[in-house]
Amino acid sequence: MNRYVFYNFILVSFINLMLYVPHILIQYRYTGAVSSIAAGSVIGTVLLYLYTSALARYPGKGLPEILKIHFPGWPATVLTLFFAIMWWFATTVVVVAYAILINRFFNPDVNTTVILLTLVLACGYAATRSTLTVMFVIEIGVIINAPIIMFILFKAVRSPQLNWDAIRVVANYITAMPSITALAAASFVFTGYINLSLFNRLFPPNFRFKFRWVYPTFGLAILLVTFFVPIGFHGTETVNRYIYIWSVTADSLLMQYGFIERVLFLFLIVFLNLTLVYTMSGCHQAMEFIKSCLPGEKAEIDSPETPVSNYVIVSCFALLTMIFQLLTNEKLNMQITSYWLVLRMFIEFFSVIGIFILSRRRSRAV
Amino acid sequence: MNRLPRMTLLLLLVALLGGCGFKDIDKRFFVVALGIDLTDNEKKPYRITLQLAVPSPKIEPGASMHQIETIDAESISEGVRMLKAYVDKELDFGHCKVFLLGEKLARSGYEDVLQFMSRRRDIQSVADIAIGRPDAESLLKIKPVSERYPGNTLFLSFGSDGTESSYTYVESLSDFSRRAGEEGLDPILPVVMKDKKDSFIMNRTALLNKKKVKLILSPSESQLFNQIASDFVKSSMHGNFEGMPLVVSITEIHSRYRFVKLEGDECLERSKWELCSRKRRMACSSRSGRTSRSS
Amino acid sequence: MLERIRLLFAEAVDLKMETLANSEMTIEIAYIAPLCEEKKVNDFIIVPFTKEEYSFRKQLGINPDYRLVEDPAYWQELLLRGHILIKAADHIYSFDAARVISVENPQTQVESAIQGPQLALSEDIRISLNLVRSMYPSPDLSVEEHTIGSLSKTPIMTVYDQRRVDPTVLDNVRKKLTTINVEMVHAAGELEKLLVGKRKHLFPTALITERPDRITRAIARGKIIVLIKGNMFAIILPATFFDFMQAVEDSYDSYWMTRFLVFLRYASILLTITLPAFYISVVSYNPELFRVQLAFSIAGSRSAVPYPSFVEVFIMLFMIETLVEASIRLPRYIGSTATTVGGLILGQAAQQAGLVSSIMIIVTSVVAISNFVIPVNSLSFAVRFLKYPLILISIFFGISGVAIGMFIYITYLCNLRSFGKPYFRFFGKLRHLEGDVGQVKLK
Repeated sequence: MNRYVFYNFILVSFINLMLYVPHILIQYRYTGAVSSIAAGSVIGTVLLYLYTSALARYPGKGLPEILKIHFPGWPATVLTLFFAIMWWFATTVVVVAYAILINRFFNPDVNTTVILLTLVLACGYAATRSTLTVMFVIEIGVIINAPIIMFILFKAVRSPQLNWDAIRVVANYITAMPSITALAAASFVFTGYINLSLFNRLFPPNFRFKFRWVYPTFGLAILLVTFFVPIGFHGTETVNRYIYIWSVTADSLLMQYGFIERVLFLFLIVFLNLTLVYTMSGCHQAMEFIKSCLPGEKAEIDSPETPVSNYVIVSCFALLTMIFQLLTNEKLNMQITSYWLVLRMFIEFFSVIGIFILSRRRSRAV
Repeated sequence: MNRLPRMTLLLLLVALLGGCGFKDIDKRFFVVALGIDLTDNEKKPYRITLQLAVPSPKIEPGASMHQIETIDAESISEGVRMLKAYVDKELDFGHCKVFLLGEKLARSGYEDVLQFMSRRRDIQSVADIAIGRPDAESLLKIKPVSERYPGNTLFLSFGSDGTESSYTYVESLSDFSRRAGEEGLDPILPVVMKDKKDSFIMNRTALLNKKKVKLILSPSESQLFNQIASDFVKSSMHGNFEGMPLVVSITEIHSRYRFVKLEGDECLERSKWELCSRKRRMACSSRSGRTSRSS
Repeated sequence: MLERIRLLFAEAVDLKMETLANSEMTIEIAYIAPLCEEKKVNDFIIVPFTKEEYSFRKQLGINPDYRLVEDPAYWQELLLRGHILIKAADHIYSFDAARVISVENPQTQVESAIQGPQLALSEDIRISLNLVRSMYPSPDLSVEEHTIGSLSKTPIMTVYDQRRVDPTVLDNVRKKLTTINVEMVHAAGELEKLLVGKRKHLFPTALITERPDRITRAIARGKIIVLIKGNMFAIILPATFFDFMQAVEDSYDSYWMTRFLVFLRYASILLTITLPAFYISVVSYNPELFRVQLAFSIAGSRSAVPYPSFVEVFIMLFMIETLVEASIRLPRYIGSTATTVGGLILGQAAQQAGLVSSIMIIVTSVVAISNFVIPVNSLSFAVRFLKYPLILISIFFGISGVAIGMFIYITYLCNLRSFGKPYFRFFGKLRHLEGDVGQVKLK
């Protein structure tokens, strides 16, 4: 069942393109992005190992349940609510960014708010489903879309337009000290394991994490491609001009013999799917976290009837997302995202270490 | 939920959506090529020429029809917007694959044009750019006899779908904008000329700096440049070998370069060039010109 | 007894009630003549009783075919099922003389396979059971009988392998069968709807089949079969989406060819759902998606069409759907004529009249043909509907709308459960030692 872990990991590492990670890294390309990638992958790998081995001691339990074991009442509630907000925010950023992208490339005449509303409704419907359903949707989404993304990335790497000199020039800045923001951005690619906070509920009692070395290898490969390929395509200087750097990069590619000539459209459709899946998964996790704080609420992984609380919580999320979109613009969105990334890194760092220590203490006590 | 509120919600949603960018393909005018020239009028410096495709259900050689619209304007986007009043359908740049810059414009500065092209969302980054000699407008008015659909001839000449000539350097918009911004690289554009009959010749290459054209290479120089810079294989070499005229068809080219530091600020580019022809291997080492930039 | 039966039934001429006497005893018999086989009545009751070669009283006691009926409450039902009631010396016996009218040795018609068994299930539940039993000769095969319908009293049988069946699914099915409250059930599809329970569903969650080989294969995989009297079809529970995409021939023919066919089916299901919506969104929102040639020729052929693209799509889809419907309903010989007239002449004429573009004709035919590729009829019907919501959303949002619509479909599919089992799920390799996701029940 390790593939279910892997799906989450792949999903998050691909979705980094929507969370402005390449753009943030490229901004720091002379001032520590390369060393941040190296350091970020080390941090990500260590956290991944710690978290998975900690969760292995709590089979079938999500983060809220683990917190409830160790903390009494309100600290657990506060922590869980905080996590819920973090998760919701990530989906909001992604879905708002994508609504803007659709408005820019597919339907320039449709209002962004209307597009966002549609996206949010679709994801909201999906998020209210049971945890098991959400997991299946993630699986299908990754299986369908990941090969296409790999194809696009491969095509980009093999393209004759790729200027290796520019890549070499930027790679030579590895000696610059890493910066916090770049580090946070780089380590985001590895953060797929944190989705297990909820999906650990699904795993059977005798579940063991296997092939853990695959995750850092895969993450590092994706990170290197997402950072260096745009530089190779747009040069060391021009690359900084674009916020959605990867859609511009995909636009520079041409499938001469494909049914659709422009890779851009393929790329956008695939990423629309991933965005929907990611938003659904994030919203669902946030919803489940909030539900676990409600008194008398039992954690269910596959309830035959959708509880009303699901609809209420997700509609609140949807509303907040709409409000967020109305209050911000692209520039601000990116700014907030970079702060969020930093905050996320610290939260994740401390919570993973915390859970790890708790799990050790528990096993010693037992 | 009852049926009534549901229906109301649906109706509301549909009402929200009313009138959004729905425009059928036959209500659009496809721009297949865009030419930009410089005029003598200082108030309206740009002359914009659009080659618009007139679609027909049958595609056969010589049946292609196009319509040319020209306008003088203060800026390019302004011109395009004004041109909308000249035509009956919505202008669509989605299939605009060829951009021609008039030679005069290219010699005086291309920055605004590049800005326009890379900012518009519906212009593809894979579109080809060339310099039109003497100007873009007259070139776009040509109707080649064999053309199957509008704009095809120019587009095919550039892409590797159609002809692949060792004399034609192909430049895409994304590469052009990279070269225009990157340190250590400068843009290069092919030059398109008009034949006496209705066809195009593109065997020259213009070298530009960050602002304008510096030098236009002759056909043989262009070929040499293609061979060195992009390892263009489908080409041949002429020469005399022990008094006999000889034509060598090349099957493989490898070029390599290295920067050697000389005294002062100047650098010398030393390049090594290896050719491979049928059964014969030629190697030559050449010193090509001094470059003023260092990188 | 006869007086009582006369009270139980309405005035009916076909209700036969006789009193017979021989030297040994006097008996009363009652039966509904059209339901019973006259030959059986003669051979087993009237002839032995009047010939007196063997004592009829003893015969009643020995032969298990004459069953003792203790409770008069059953009389009515027994008579209605084609039994003969016999009253002999204060005891009431029943004898099954039911005459079942059915198609003799039916051939598979709905799901035909070139190779593989050609025999389909019969309308007689005993013949069907015979087929299943003989193809699955295992002592573990368990058969349960239920009756459904307060008026129709349709006998149904659930058949499963008791060692392989999933007990939770079995409980679920039993509970459903006992709680169904309905007057009439005659078709497998009707029963399937009752079993699934949801009033409005897009996809069939139980597989209806007429092929005994498909049934035995399903039993071997731990599924439950429901056979219905008077129906050539059986229901297989639980079913997954992938079962519907599986033709029986996939396990009979060579490996790569069948893999290719499976791929073809998935490709065509995708095409038949999305193609009209894609046509609208590309033609009306993003014509740059096409290649230049294609864009120009579509624009050229569309220039004669006065309507927006979606009206064009609706015109063509209306034509093709009515054609398909007509050719199903019409007798077989006229059916092919209707398709020819519609397909060849109407399409050509519509295009020449400038009602639709030539590309649209191709789109419509692809949609129709790829719909027929789906091997199981009920899914093919369900899929026929799916394109319309996508067309609606594509009118407003173009390609992104289609992608969102597909996402919602996938979520809906993943959310479906067939008797507690996930309906749309990529299984992959399951190692039994590891256990499956979602097996843990949280306390």
